[in-house]
Order: sequence, then C-alpha cells, then structure tokens
Amino acid sequence: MTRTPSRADRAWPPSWLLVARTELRRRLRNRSAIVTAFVGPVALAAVFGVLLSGTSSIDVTIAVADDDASALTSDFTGSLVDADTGGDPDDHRDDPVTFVAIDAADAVQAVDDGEVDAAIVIPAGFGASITSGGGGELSVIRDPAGRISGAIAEAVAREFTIALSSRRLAAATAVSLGTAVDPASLDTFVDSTTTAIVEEEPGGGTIDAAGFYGVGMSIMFLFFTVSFAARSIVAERHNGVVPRMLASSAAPWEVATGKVVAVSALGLAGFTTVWGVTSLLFGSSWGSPVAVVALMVCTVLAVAGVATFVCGLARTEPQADGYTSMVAFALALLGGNFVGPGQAPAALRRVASFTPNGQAIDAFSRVAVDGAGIVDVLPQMAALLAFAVLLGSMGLARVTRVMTS
Amino acid sequence: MSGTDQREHSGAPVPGTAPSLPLLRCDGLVRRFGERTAVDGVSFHISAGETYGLLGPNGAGKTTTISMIAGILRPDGGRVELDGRRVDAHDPEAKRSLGLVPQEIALFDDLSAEENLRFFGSLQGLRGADLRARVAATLELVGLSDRAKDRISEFSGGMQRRANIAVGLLHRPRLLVLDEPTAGVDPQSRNQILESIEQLRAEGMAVLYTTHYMEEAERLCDRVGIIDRGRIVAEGTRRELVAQIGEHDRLVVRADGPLDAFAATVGTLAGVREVHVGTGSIDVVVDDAASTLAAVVDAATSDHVVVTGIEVREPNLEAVFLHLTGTALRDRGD
Ligand SMILES: Nc1ncnc2c1ncn2[C@@H]1O[C@H](COP(=O)(O)OP(=O)(O)OP(=O)(O)O)[C@@H](O)[C@H]1O
Ligand SMILES: [Mg+2]
Repeated sequence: MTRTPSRADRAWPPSWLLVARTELRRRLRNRSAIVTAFVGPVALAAVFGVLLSGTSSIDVTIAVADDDASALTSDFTGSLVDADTGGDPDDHRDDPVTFVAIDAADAVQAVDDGEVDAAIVIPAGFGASITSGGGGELSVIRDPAGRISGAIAEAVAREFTIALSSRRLAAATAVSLGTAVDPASLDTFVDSTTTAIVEEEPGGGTIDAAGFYGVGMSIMFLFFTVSFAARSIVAERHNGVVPRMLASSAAPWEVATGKVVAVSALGLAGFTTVWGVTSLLFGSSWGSPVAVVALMVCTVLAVAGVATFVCGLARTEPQADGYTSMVAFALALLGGNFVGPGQAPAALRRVASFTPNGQAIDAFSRVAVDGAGIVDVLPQMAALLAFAVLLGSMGLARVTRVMTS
Repeated sequence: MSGTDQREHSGAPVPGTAPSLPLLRCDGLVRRFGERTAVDGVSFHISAGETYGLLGPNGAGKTTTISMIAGILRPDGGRVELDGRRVDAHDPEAKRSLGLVPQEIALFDDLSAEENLRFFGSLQGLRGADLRARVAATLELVGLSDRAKDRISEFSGGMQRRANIAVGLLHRPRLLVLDEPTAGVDPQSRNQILESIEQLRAEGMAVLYTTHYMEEAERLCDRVGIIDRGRIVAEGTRRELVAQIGEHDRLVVRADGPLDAFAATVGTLAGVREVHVGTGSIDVVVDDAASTLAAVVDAATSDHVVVTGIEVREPNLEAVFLHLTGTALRDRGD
C-alpha cells in the first residue's frame, strides 16, 4: 500500500527543471512573461531606436505632470517637452514621441479621454526626497489599450530614476575610489535619452548609438527580469509553497536554480527581442549574429549568476528588492551602462572590466564596431562564464541556509 | 517526553532490529527565533501505523516542530530521524516517506488543483501513468474530482483545505503530517476531512496531527503529546494522561432507596476508587467507567435500589491540559 519512490523513478525531468517549467507556465498564463519577454523589450528598443535614430512609424503623445516643480524635475520635464524625437528638427508635429506638459490633476482625465496615450506624474516632494538621499517614485498612468505607449512612458520614467540614482552612486563611488568624476560626463546619460548621439570611438569607428544603448539597457532590463527570481522565492517562502517544495523532496538549490532558469529564459527572449527590433525596425547593426547569440547566452548566464547570488542573500521582499537595486545600480554604474564608450573616466573604465555587464558591453561593442567575430570575444565570454560560475555557486552555497532559516 | 522513549527503548538501538524502530523519532529538538525559544527540547516518536496528536495552544511550537520534522527549518539542536535516516535539508531523499500538509494553503492559486498535484507529485518522483493515476485517486479521496480543472483561487475555503491535504498524501507517504488541517472550515468539511484521515489510518498510514481541538485529538489519535511553550509537558493515551493528573472516570448514579447500603456495596467492587453519597444520588470514582458500569447496576438490583439515571463523566484532555498548564486551550469556536 505505502510505497516510497526510489531515485530511479525520478530520473527525468529533474526537480529544478520541473520548478522552471511550472514557473514559466504560470508567467505565460498571467501574461507577465509576454511583457518581460516581448512588450517591454519592444518598448525599450522603440525608445532607443526612435529617440536615437529618428526613424519611426510610431506616433505617441505622453503627458508629463510635474507636481514637484523642483529644479531637478523641471529640468527633466523641460528637456522632454523640448526634445525633438525625430523628423524635422524644427517641427515637433512629425515626432514619433511627443511629450506635453500637463497639470497633475488633469493627468488621469487626459489619459481617459484619449487626449494623450499615457502620462508620467512626478509627485510633489520628489526632488527633495532624491536630493536628501531618499528614494523617489514616479507614477505612470497608462491607457490599458495602449501597451506600447504605456511601456514607453514607463521606460522613460525608469530611465529618469535610474539616471538620478546612478549619479548619486557615481559620486559616492568616485569618492571611494579617490578619483574625481566630471559631473558632466555623468549627465550625458540623462541627455542621451532625449538627444540623438553618434559617438566617435577613439579607434575611429562609428558606434551606432541605438545599438549601444540597446545593449546597455537590455542588460539592465535583463537584470531586473532575472532578479524576479529572488523576489518570487521570498514571496513563495512566505505563502508556504517553497517550504512545501522542500518537503516534497526538492533540494533548496534545485528550487533556486529552477526559478533562475525560468526567468533567465524570459530574459534571453527579451534580449533577442531588443536585438531583433533594433536591427529590423531601426537598422542598427549589432555585428556578427553568431557572436551576438553567443554573447547573449553568456551575458544571460552571468546575470543569472548575479541573480542566484541575490537569492542566497535575501530573506524578505524588501531585501530582495533592495539588494537587486543596489547590485544593479552599482554594476550598471561601474560597468559603464550609462556612459557611452570613450566617455567613462579612466578609473571607472578599469573597474568596468570587473563587472559582468562591463565585459558584456565591451564584447558587444567589439562585435558591433570593430566587426569582431566570436573568436575575438572568447576572453570576454570566458569572463562572463566565470562570473556565472563564481556568483552562481556562491549563491547556491548560501541558498540552503536562507531557505531553511 | 523522553521518559516515555526510554521506557520503550532502553539502551541504544541494536543494528538489525530495524522493524522495531519507530518510523519517526525526534530527539531534543530546539529552535530559537532571536531571543524566543519556540521549541525547547521536544522528543517523541511515532511507530508505523500510529496516529499521534500534538495538542497545544497558539504559539506552543507545533508548526515549528513540524517544520523541523519536514526538513524545511533547521533545528538549533536535536535531530529528526525518519525511517532510521536523519532528515536534512541537503538530503531530500530522507524526506521521501513523509507527506506534509502545512497549516496555510500552500498551493499555486493560479494553477488548477490537478496541476498543483501533478507538480508536487512529480517533485516526489512520480511520473507518467503512475502520476496520473495517483492524482485522480487522490482527488477522488478528498472529493474534488469534479473540480480538478478549476483554479485554486476559484475554490471555497473548505475546498482549498482539501486540495492542500491532497498534495500531502499524493505520494502515499508512510507518515502523513497534518498541521491544523481543519482550522477555519465548516463542520461538514471538517467531518469530511476527519473521515479521510480515518480512512488513511485504517489503511496503515502513520499520522502526526496537530490541533487545538480536543475532540479531534480524542477522536483520531492513538497517543497525544501535550505541548506548551515549546515543551512536551505530558504524553500518552487519553486514559494515561487522565490518570497522570490524578483524574478518573466518574459515574453519577441517581437512585431511590437505601443509598448508604448501596454505596457500601459499590465501594467493594473491583475498579472502584471512591464513593460519595449525595442527596438522591451516589458519586462513584472508577478506573474505567465502561467496565464498571454493569457491576454497579447489578449492585443496585441486589440492594433493592431503583436506579433512575446514570451519568458517565470521563475527564477529557481539556481537563488534563488545564491541570498541566493552568490555561485553557484557545477556543476558536466552531
Ligand atoms: N519565523 C519566525 N520568526 C520569529 N518567530 C517565530 C517564527 N515562527 C514562529 N515563531 C514564534 O515561535 C513560537 C511558536 O510558533 P509556532 O508557529 O510553532 O506555534 P504553533 O503552536 O504552531 O501555533 P498556532 O496554533 O498558532 O499555529 C511563537 O511564539 C511564534 O511567535
Ligand atoms: Mg501553527
């Protein structure tokens, strides 16, 4: 009557794959997978493609309500409203994305009435909170029917907060490195979201700015996507599902691996989407497809390693969020996601090679700009895989302790 | 308590005597959360096929104990052995013969009952036709066959409870651990749950059952451990527990006639401890009400006393609990 299944019964699929499969099934069912793998990346690519290359078949109007009206925020709103996002530089009517100023009180109504496609609301006190070192939160009002416009508005809002935080972190990092950072070079990123830039490489090649920021932002997007693993584990520890998996004979490392594998698959899909959209729609060239695919896989693995590491630390949801943001900003900053190639101060450039995203950006730039092939970026791929193995194993070594505490 | 263990297993277990080893053995389990010691040296064992109740009020340490047994919480001290093998988070195989039904509904509420069962069943090593058959049989057992394809989020509270139980017994564990499985369900669902557990028990599955409902512990459990503030303060069958605190069964016999003579006769019967004469009734303290009842009635007949009513008072676990801890079990109401 009672029978205990033996090892031999459970050869395939292994527990981690069962966990990954169920995670993917659930994410596909509630459509969050579609957002992370397709809609978000398309919006991201559209923002960079449209804003940077000026080609477009998109016509979106986004309202910006600045309830804060601090120096910090009026700079941002002013530059958005004045921005020429494509077409004739003197004519804003042909822009693919138009930003208009609006009163916060009218924002919801304007979206409801269809006057604008989405609205970004900066709450009162935002600037003061940022300046004093606290966090800030922007809200985005989106028309449920307009996926793309909402996603663009969210992407813009996120860029702004990332830029603010990265500048704070940059200053702190520079101080701790004992170097002075030219604030102007850090401002470049903020400007870059609204300005078309074609950067000159020291070697003389021309960097396709859309492609470059596409890579940088994809990595950030990837990072946030993959770090959902830690969040999801923490949440399911609290509702009893993770303990139940452990009681059902899954080892803690198998649960963590399964979660990370599932979100990494989505991250890879998202990365591929950005590549496809920027190349096909906006004509960016990322270089040798074989090298690009190989680099993408290695980058996703490295980011998965970082996410596993965070899984090995976070015990609560705020911790999962906090560690994720901290690690993301620190890596993005040090790895040079925010500053164009050639712009980073020398000290930062040296530090960048010790971050997975720094290695990835370096490799993607070589492939895109210098026409490097897969063989030329083997060292970077090896470095990325080393990050994956090192951070991943450190995370897995800790995950048992965290899950059974 | 460990005293019981020692009585039944004097000396170290001898290799080769595996069949007589308990299925589950907890030794000196300790778990702290910061300053608070939630579980403070808990030891007990459960034999194959036995139903053991862990009875205690809120915060007594029931869930913490169970979590250590299921290998999902690291003990700060002590050890758990299941089927002679130490339970350890690093060694999932040791948990194979255990099925856990957690206190909360630990299911994916965006998946159907069947999908949940398939997932957890596959983690337990079930595959293919075997898995399908077990899922179907288990849904049948808990009365959810007709709702198999519905999402957990669309279930009523009682149905969610039953689905929660189904996951724990899907792989037919040798030991089923249930943490307050009837909390917050209506009497009908509760009865259905208790009946399924009785059925499993009859099939030979050992059960560890926590509750703070006395009636459930009395109805289901062969032995009960009373846990309070992280310690097992008493353990045994209901009768043993009751005897331990000096409480006994009572027969209150209402009768007309020469009560003093009747009381004297009853006082000489085997198994009678004390007799008190009241107005219109006598109060008899006995070892076991059921076995003494007939003799008392016979004595009434021979003493020409007319019995007008007999009331049997068996002290329950509530009395034991009150005696041992000075507090009543929390009454959640039904
Ligand atoms: N994760 C935790 N962190 C801190 N304290 C905890 C934690 N889990 C349990 N405790 C504490 O340990 C003690 C025992 O809790 P436990 O959940 O084991 O009680 P219980 O007997 O299951 O109670 P209930 O009948 O309410 O379910 C309580 O004082 C509780 O507050
Ligand atoms: Mg409990």
